[in-house]
Amino acid sequence: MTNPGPMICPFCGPRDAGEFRYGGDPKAARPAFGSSDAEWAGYLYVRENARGVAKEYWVHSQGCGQWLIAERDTVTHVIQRISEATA
Amino acid sequence: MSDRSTFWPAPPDSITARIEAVGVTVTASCGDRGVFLLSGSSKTVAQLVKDYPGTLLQIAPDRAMLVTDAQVGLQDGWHPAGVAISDLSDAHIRIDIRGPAAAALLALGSASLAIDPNPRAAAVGFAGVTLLVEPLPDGARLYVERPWAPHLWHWLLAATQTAKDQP
Amino acid sequence: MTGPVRIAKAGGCALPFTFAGRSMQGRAGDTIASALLANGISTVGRSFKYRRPRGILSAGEDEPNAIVDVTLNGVRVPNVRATTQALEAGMQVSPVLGRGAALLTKLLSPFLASGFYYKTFLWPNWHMFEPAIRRMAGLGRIDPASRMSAGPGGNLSVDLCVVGAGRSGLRAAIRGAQAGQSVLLVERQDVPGGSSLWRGGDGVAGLLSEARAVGVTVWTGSTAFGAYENGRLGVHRQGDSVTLGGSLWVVQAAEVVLATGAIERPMLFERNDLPGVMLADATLNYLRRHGVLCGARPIVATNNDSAYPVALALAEVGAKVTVVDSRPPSERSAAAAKRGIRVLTRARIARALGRGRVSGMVLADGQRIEGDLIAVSGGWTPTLHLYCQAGGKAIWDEGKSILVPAFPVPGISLAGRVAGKWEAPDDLPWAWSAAPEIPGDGVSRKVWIDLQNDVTLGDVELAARENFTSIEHLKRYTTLGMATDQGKTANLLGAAAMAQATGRATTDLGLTTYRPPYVPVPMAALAGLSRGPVQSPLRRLAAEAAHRAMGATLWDYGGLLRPAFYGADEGSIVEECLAARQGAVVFDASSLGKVAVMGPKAGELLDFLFAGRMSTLQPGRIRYGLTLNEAGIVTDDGVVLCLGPDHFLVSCSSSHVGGFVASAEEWRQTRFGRDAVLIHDRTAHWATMSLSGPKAKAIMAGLGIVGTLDDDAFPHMAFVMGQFMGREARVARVSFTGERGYEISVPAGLAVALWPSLIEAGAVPCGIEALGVLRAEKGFIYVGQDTDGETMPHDLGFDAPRLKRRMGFVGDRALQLPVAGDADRKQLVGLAREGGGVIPAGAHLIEDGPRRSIGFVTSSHQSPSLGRGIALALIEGGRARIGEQVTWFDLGKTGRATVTPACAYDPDGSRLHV
Repeated sequence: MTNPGPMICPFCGPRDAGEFRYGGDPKAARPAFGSSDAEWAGYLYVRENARGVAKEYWVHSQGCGQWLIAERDTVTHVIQRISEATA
Repeated sequence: MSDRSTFWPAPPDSITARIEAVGVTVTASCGDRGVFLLSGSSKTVAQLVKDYPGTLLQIAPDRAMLVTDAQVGLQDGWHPAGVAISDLSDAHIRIDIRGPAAAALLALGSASLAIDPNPRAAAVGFAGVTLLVEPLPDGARLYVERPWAPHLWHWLLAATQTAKDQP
Repeated sequence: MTGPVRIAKAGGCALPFTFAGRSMQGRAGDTIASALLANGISTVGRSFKYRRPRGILSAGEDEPNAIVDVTLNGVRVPNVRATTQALEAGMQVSPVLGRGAALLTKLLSPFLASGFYYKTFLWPNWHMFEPAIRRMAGLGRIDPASRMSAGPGGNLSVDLCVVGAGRSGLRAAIRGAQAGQSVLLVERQDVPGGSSLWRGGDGVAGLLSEARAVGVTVWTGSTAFGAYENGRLGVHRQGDSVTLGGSLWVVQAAEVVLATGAIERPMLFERNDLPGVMLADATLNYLRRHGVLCGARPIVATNNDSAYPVALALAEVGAKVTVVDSRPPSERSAAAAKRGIRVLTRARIARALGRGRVSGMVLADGQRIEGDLIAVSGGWTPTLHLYCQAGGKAIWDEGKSILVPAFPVPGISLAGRVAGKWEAPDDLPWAWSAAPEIPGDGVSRKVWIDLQNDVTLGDVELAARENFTSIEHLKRYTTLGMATDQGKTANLLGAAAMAQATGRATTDLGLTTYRPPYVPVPMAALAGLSRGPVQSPLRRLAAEAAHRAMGATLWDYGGLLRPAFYGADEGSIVEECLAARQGAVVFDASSLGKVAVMGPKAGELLDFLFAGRMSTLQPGRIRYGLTLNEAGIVTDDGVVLCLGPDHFLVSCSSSHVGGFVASAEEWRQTRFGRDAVLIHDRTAHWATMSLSGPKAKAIMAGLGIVGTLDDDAFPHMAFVMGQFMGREARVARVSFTGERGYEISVPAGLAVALWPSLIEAGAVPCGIEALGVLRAEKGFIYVGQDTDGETMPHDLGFDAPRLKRRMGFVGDRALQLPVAGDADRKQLVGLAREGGGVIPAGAHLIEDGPRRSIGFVTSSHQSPSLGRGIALALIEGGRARIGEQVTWFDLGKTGRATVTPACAYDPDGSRLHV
């Protein structure tokens, strides 16, 4: 049985994890200008911080510079799926 | 505390600088050929540069850098074919690391190059900075942005000097 | 009196060294510990808290006592573990703690129980007592003059990394290599073989040559000290000398096999810290590897079978051995007795006897036994550290009486003793695991559990009484397991003691979290190449050589090495300032961002990134703008140049280029889409020299870079293209000083040519220090210096984004939050000190009455042009206070100042057109 190994950029292939930067929570959709103060504050500051598999933004900052969406187990650090982020 | 005004060593001459160490030679060069950053769909980019001999370093799915000796009619800005173009001919210092010990030196600078010495895309983290790697048969050519080149050079000096004394 | 002695006549060549000033001889192949034992040394130092004499306990990395300072060739290395450091000729070894400090702590010792520091040094505060306590504490001394060197280390990627080159490890490595894997075998000791080097066992030499034959890479003197996520191991390779820090390697391994063995536990009895009490396995190690007999009349105390081979080996070389076994008679005890060894079964050790070193022991039934060594074996703890660090969990298995992994960790497997497997050395039954035995009521609690941090059974029970009963609280309250040995011999005993004190099972109590490093790693090795100027890289200017040639003093500004001033000293800053107002200056602005935004959606993206509209900019024109984050806070300011309908260039401030590009890319890729707008950072391609002052136009005309300098065709906030040395140049009319300004950009390779041509044309070189004064006179901000993490655009006087309720840019909604409308928001204003003079930068402004800070000074200078001190400050409701007096306060000094507008020089901006 092998371990999950280094992080894999969908474009660059296997890379040292130090090349990637955590980019926040992709579920936080930007509320409209007319949203309530509470909605905006929630968008700014409230995060789920799940134990287990979480969807996260990662950016390959010391590489291709692409924004990625990773499904990462926050307990084991195992990345189960990683793909290019889309608009 | 060190005197901060004399702490930072002068940068090397980016054309004549050279390191000779056991199993590895490091040389620098710059400015004598055309370098163009092109972004857009990789097909369109390939179409645009097909007539120019040289090296095309793929950086990202939609980004590549053409290095060429040819006279190139590429203008900075938005090309109607859907490609963004920037002349970066003066942006980098090229550093060639060659010899039987080159691979070990490259793996020391970048954990990613230790995992894969021929990376699928050119941009890697190396000695604390992001640079572009073009694999050569006996080593690699690094394209480092000019402002970072003195740091990279001093790092290479330290790496090749201390390697003899320690495991 | 007897004690340890070298019995082997033959051996490696002689190595002279000193211990506590006494000259001694060791041999090649010795560790410092074996050399000390060979010289009859049993006390190697004093304990951390109670200053009790302490001897060598073990022969490996688990050693809690034998920590020494070593000086060699003028380099002093503190806190060396004598049991793992090879002896070198000329070493001056000294105990970390000598006798000197003993008396005071002896007087204090009744008070030094758990939590003593927390309970005692509360008033007035801990920091008053800390220096004296630290001096008393048993820690090595760092010599600032001694600099340990270290190698660069490196990164390595392999299919399989095996940790531990004992027989199990060698077998695992061979299997892997035979299956086609690239294999790295890491061994802490200087030679492979593991415990078979002293326990015996066949085939190690054969296994080693087989391993080498199938291509296994063997690293000896190398410790895998940390297991990190996804198969990364930290490995420290020792240097050839104690003064060399070795090197740090990061090994990426698809598979890891731990063959790390097990660590023997001491036994718990009164005065079990007396020099001469050693781990049984260690005495065998010293005998077989170094020819040192640790005692002529050893008492081997055990609760398991692993000590019997030790007793037999000691007897074989003529020692008069007594075995004290807490268990009933067995085949093994009978076999030992048959070999002439005195064996006492069902016998429990109660107390060690001796003054300064062991002279015997008293059993629980009162029987006294003479002896000069107590070799103890209280069972074995598998070395599961790396498995636990990688996410595993070790639990005590009551049935098997051994620590076991609770669940598998992907990519990590165990082999040999760490997996609970230890082949019997002969045909007899082989019971090597045993549960810790904790002394019951009615005996002294001065029983040492953690020798390095001086934690006793009494301390653990005190913690239990005070309700610090969880294993994590026990650790923090008593410091059990927190010394540099990380409790390798102590943690399980501590847990078992707490379990007994609270009537729980050891299994339920658990163990504290295992964290890297497994053994201390020299800071020099961790640093590797990251020392001196390489440690924190700076960006450099393309024209740095030209600046140096002009006598520039170069300082670090936000990660950039830039000229601070030109000339002999800081006095030249004044001349540079005056030249800007009266003649013309040039400064190197090459590090300013030049980020191209291109494509049909370029204007749309810029409108979103800036708090002002950029898409309406006409080609050839320039506009100033602020960028915010989603909380509405100002993150940068800069100007945008329109190069064409689908082509803009963002000139962000020097230290924010990376941040701007990152943020722009984030929004592009996650909101605008990848195709219709593209971003190129062209900063490195261009060098930029910024010329300004009333004579700037005349100098510009002389250079001939651009055709027209007519102010109608080329007004402020416009740019034109030109030529310099046959290559494209761009000249922009912007100003950082408030004077007429021309910013000349050329390809970076021409920087060294452009700079001297400007100087020859009459421009005075100007450093960042003078620039800081000039822009402060104008009230121009440095984002991050004159703003903080709460500053919104309207706090700086840019009211439009909030008041016009413009939407569709980063941070738009946050500017409408109630907090954005607070009347007491800190606003940027200027200050004029009463009576002239400079207010210290960083000074607070305070309200009269109940003293409260209402803001602080962000920039402060003596203005050569105005002949007075000027300052910028963020003050609550600052703009409404203009004309009022405030009090400033700095490190006890106070004074008065008048609040003014931020711009102190040329408020109507007429100088731009002079």
